[in-house]
Amino acid sequence: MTNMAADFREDTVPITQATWRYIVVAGVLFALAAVVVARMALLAFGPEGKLILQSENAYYLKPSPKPRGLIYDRSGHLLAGDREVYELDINLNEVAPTDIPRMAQEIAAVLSLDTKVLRKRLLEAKSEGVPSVMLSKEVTKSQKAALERRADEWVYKDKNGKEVKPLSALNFVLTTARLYPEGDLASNVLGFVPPLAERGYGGVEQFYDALLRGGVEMQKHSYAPWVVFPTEGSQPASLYLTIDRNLQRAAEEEAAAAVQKTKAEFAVIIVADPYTGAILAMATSPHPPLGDYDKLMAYIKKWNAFNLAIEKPYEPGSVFKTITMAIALDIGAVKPDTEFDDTGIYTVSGARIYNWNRGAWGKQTMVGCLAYSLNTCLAWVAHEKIPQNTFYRYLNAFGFGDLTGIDLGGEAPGGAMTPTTRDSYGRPLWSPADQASQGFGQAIMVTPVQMVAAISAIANGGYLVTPHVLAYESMGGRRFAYHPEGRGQVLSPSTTATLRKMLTESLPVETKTALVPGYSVAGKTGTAEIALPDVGYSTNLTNASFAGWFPADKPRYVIYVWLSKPKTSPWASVVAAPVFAEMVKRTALIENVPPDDVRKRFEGVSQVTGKK
Amino acid sequence: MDTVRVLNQTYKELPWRKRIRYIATALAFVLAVGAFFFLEVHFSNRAILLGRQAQRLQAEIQNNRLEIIILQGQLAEQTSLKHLRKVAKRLGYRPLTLQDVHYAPVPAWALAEDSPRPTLQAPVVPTPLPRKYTISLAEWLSEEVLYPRATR
Repeated sequence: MTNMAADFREDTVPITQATWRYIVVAGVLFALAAVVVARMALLAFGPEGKLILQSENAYYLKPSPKPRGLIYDRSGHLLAGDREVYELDINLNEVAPTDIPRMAQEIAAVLSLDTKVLRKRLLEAKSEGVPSVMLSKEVTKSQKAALERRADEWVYKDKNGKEVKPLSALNFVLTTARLYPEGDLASNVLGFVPPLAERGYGGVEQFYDALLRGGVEMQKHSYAPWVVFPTEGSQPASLYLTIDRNLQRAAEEEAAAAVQKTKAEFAVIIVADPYTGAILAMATSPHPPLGDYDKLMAYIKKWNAFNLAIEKPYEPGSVFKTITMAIALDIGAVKPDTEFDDTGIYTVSGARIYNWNRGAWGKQTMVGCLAYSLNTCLAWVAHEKIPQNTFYRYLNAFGFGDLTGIDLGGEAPGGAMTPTTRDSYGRPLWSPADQASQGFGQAIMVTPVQMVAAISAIANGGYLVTPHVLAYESMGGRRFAYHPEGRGQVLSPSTTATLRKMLTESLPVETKTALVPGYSVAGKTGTAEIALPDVGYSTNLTNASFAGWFPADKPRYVIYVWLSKPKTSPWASVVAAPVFAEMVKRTALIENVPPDDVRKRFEGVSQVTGKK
Repeated sequence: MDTVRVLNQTYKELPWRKRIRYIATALAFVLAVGAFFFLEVHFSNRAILLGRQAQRLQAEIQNNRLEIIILQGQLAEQTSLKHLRKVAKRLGYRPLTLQDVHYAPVPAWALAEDSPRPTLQAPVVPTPLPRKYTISLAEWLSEEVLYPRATR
């Protein structure tokens, strides 16, 4: 201390009053700086800072509308979208019981509800102390605006002079509901989403529900302002179908016209690509009405099906002769010129089989059997030319009695009597007469889509395709193409080439109403009598079908027509074949398929120029 | 109290140069501490602002996505077959028939190929990757360097 004091004395400068002022000001500034620093330290590492850090792990859930995935046709036209709707709740804690009757009246008038029912419901909920009641899940934008307008208009002052707006207790939550810009177009393919439900039923909506699923999602929101939870992964996919809206519209119009003209119970038309199994149009008339849920339920109840094209098995009749002939040709049991002497009756195990006109057609080749659609001939082929095991092995390979795997909800497998079929006591039900009947398309139940797959195999060289409606899905900005696995080679290419030639030759003989000027077509009619309980087969009630493709030499489109119980004529050649011809015309126009002569001329040109 | 007086006296007797040095040191210390906490608070503040902005943008993206879907539906209604047919009818157009279509030969034009067809054969079994793509470094050392095969 002594040394220090000595040092101080070296150049001691007296502290003046001015210096003191500087020291005081410096001290104050220093103190202020220290306070600021201390405050910053507290903010950074004190209890407030810790609280903010802790909030990093804390979050709350908030409802957020998640629109259901969109469905497009193959050209990107929207078939099923979403529209803006609101979920409407009422906070009963904010409502006086005396206001409820008028409130029910106001709401019911806008939402088209029953005033009495609504009033009762609200009064009961209020008396039970229920805090909130959901009034509707599909309030439209205009209804919301109307209710908000009414809320502003209905104002009164309570006993304390406070302004009361009873309808301000209404709470609108934004959500979405299905929108069908094309109306009921392809409704049987699309499926439906019931009100108040998030799950889809029938068609694409059911099959791809997991991809399309939307609804109201409880989304995580962090209390920490710098934490953002990702939401990208939960976005639903958009589906692009193989359906073409123009072809679909044409098929629906033709189906509706056919029902009207023939007074049929219903009609089904399918247009498909035989090489890929892509369904380009799948029309039913009547079709499910998507706009009105009550009518839709009535439709499903009436037909016991949503999509008649995949859910209604029926006896196809003579169109099935193409399958029998294909099997016989494939195993080498018959050739196109194999002869059958038709006496007009063929007897198997005591059962008598007649031709459609009960006539005898004499000696006929296999082409003639198809051209005149002889039941006796095809029963003979099925029963005598094809071994039992082989016949059923082929039916199994074609997928009859099994699902085709089409990507639509609710497909039915159909079925047939086989040698292994037993009744509940284990007794065999099958007899050789069943095999003979199945040869010409009776005693077997198939769905139109199964027949489309089988006919496609004949058209494409023997490969059994999986019918499908999804072209690709789009998710997170990426597209995933859908190529379903095929179901194998069921016929040899040479068999199908022979059969294609036979069907092309036999069609003009069988029915001229299926022909289209300028275009070569191939196919077969089918008229199947309908079995009635305790009566047997009816001669008046039939299933009239036509299965065919065009161009005949280079199949690009398989078209299947089924009319159930036509009244004007029971014959497929009269009622179903013209529908096929109309569909060929409309498909050629929409798909820009040139007539055969033009096509062949240009094919020749491209061969000459080497551009093929 | 004595200590304060002594310190006060000592400070009064300090030479100015030394006083300034002490004051500067103290101020530098306060500034350093202040700067550290300033940066800490500043970065936290930036993180909060940007986080809020990100949250706002996220909400905006969701709203926009919803709005796009709704507008897409409205546009689809305006371009639906039903609507377009009405417009076409109003404009005096009639549906085309096959008879209306005429084909004219255009030199050097080749008929468009059909859409690609999938192969009708059984799916091709993928061939296994060559060993050079699957071999580990240890295996490579062992096979190629340490114990190379006599013949290749």
